[in-house]
This record gives sequence, C-alpha cells and structure tokens, in this order.
Amino acid sequence: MNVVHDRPQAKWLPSRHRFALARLVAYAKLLTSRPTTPDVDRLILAIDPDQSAIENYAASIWYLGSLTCFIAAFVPLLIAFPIALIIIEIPIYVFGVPFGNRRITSAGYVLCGAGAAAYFALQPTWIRFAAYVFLGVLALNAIAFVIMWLLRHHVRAAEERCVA
Amino acid sequence: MRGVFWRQLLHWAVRNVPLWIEPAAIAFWSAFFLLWGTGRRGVMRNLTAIKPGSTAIVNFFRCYRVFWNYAWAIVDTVRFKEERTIPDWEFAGWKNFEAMQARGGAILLTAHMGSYDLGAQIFSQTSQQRIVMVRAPEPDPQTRTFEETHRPAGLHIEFNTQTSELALDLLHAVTSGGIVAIQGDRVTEGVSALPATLFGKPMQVPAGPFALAMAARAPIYPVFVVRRGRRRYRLVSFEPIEITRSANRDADFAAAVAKWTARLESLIGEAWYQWFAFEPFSPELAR
Repeated sequence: MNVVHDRPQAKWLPSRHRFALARLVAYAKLLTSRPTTPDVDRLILAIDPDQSAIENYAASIWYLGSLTCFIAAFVPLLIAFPIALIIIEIPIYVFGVPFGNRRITSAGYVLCGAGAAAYFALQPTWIRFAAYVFLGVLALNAIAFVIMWLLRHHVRAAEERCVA
Repeated sequence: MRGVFWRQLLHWAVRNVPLWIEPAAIAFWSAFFLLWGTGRRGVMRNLTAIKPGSTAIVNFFRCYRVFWNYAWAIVDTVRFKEERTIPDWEFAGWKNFEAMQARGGAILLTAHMGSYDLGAQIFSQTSQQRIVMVRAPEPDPQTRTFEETHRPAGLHIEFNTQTSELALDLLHAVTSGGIVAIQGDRVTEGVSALPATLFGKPMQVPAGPFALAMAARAPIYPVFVVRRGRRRYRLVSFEPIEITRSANRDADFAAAVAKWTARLESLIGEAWYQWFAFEPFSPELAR
C-alpha cells in the first residue's frame, strides 16, 4: 500500500475515495487547498480508495436514512429506524454467503436500494421524496463518473503534484 | 465472548461487508454487544471512577461509545491482517519515539487502547530495532490456534505464560538492543503484580516491565495508540520513565509505577472511550 508522509492536503487525493461523486468533490478540494504543515509531529496518510471517513459515513447514513424512510411506509418512523439497522444487515449474508465477494455484495446493496426506490417513487406518499433523493444521488454519481473520466489526466497530474 | 465463532465471523465480515455499509453494521453490532452483561457492567463501573459523579444512564451511552470504538479498532486490526490495509497515522511526541529507536534496548509500555497490533506493526515498520510483543494468550484453545494462523508477519510475539523462561528471553531481547512492548494496565492470572492507584482506586499493574527495566537498566517509554476516527490513529509517546536503583527496591518500583499510572490516568481521562477494559480495574469497583 502506498503512503504519503507529512502532507495534510493529501487527505483530499481522489485516490483516497471510492465513489465518483466523492472523488469529484475531493478533486475540487485538492485544487483549492493550500499546502499546510501537519498539526502533529509526523503524519502518514494511506492511499486507499476506502480511506475517506466522510465518504463512507455519508454513504452509510444516506443508505440507512433511505431504508428507514422506505420501512416507514409500513411502520411508524420511530420504529422504522431500529428495524432498518437490522434489515441493512441482511444483504451482507444474502450476497456474502453465496458469492464471498465484497464488490458483488456492494452492487447487491445498490440494486436492492434502487429497486425499492423505483417502487416508492411511484407511490403517492411522502416517501416518494426519499426515493427521489436516493435515485438522484445515483444519477449524480453517474454524472460524476463521466466528469472524472474526462478529467482523468488532470486528476492524475494534480495527485502527482500533491505527493511530489 | 471468547469463542472462536466471533473471531471467524469478524474475519468473514471484514472480507465481505462493503466498506460504505460498515458504519451502519458497526452501529448495529455495538448495540448488540451491549447485551454482553459482564463487559457492559465492567466498562460502566470503570466509568464511575474515571468520571466521578456520573449517572448510570449517561455511562450506559458512554459504554456504547467504548464498544463502538472497540469494534472499529478490532475491524481495523483484522483488516490489516487479512488485507494489509493500514490506517492513517499521526505521531505525537516524535522526539521520544526517535530517542527510543536511536537508543535501542527499551521497554515500550502501553495500555489496552486503540489497536495494540496495529501500533506494533507501524512501530516495526518505522523502527530499525527488533520489536518483541508480549501479550496474554487466548484462553480458548481453538481461538488461540485461529489467532496464531492469522498472526501478522514481521513481528515477534511472546505470550506471558511461562514467566521464568519469558523473563530471560525478554532480558536478552532488551540487552541486545531490541524493544519489548508490554501492556501495563491489566494483570492476568499467574502474573506477578505491583500495587498502584488509578483514579483514586487501588489496582495492580504487572511487575514484569518494571523488573525488566531495572534488570536491563533500560528506560520505559509510555506509548499509547489512540483511535482518532475511522481508519485514523495517533501514536502518542511520552518522556521515558527511568527506574533508579537504590537499597530500597520496593520504593524504586513504587516511584516508577506512580509515574506510569500518572501517564495512564491523564490519557484515559482524555480518551476514556478508548480504554478497552471490560472488567473493573479495581477490586473496589468489582463489589
């Protein structure tokens, strides 16, 4: 695994992010951030696509929040949250046990979420707005993917400048 | 919670759970393990000493935070063992860390905070010295075998069971320039101990590191691994504790232990949610 020493701005390297939307935001932050000195004696930042805390917490909250809203179609919202915390575990075993592949499990999560969102988007309740947001985030991520592909050479150059 | 099943489940989950779902999964499992009465009560009793005047309901939620941090720490450790994924590292007290490496032949005294395994690994990667980790063996034979097969490469691990043989091995390691890492906040059965006071409560700390420091004439470096966020750890090194040798050996030990517990107390006071002590640290709290 690659690491960067004593460069706090390297936390915004797009390579430290997984989803296209997060990589696009990180790229914008990387371009606008100035080189700073670390507030600790030494700093080692790992370059791994799953390293970003903000991205992973945001994605988890987004999915859990959407799932809570979808479950709220059947039970009161307050009860929906603890149920969502349990139901969110199910795809881990449904996809993880037969396939044993994290990427397939991840795709399974997105497909389940998108399927539920497509269903609720057509229902005449407030939950359709949660479904719109879910589908909107997926659409934004797809757009960001195209933008990041178009910018790929600039992104690589910016990353090399940061770690040089 | 000593069975091999939980270890196997954790290793399987680390390989299979999408990382962006991990926060939700860990939130659930941290809540689930609040059902583990012994651990929950242990943490809550310790919190009454760390946070005097705190109420049971507040300590219950604090206990959840301890479990949440512990869950992340063990996930990060297993991820390192399974996939060699390292977290971000910050170093505080670097000059002490450098002095320890430059000197060679030292004892690294730490506590059950953050991740001992990850800390030892980063240490072995940044140090030229040989590092020997001392730890308590797993009581369950199946779990012990499982852990031995998942042991990180590049580290020398000694288990504190055969104390007489171990003492000689560790003395040799320190006198030949190596660094011996020991957890000094808990005494396991059969290990000799020294009396100490933590948060005003009587407790015991292992005598081994202090005896080793005296025999090898080596300093003790208090070093702590503190989890700062998702996949982010801080390695905090303090000024070394030197053990003086006088005619009164008990007083020499007592002075060193007092310095150690002062460091421990200041760090636990700041980062109580990182101290993974699931049993009451003092007999007074066990009542």
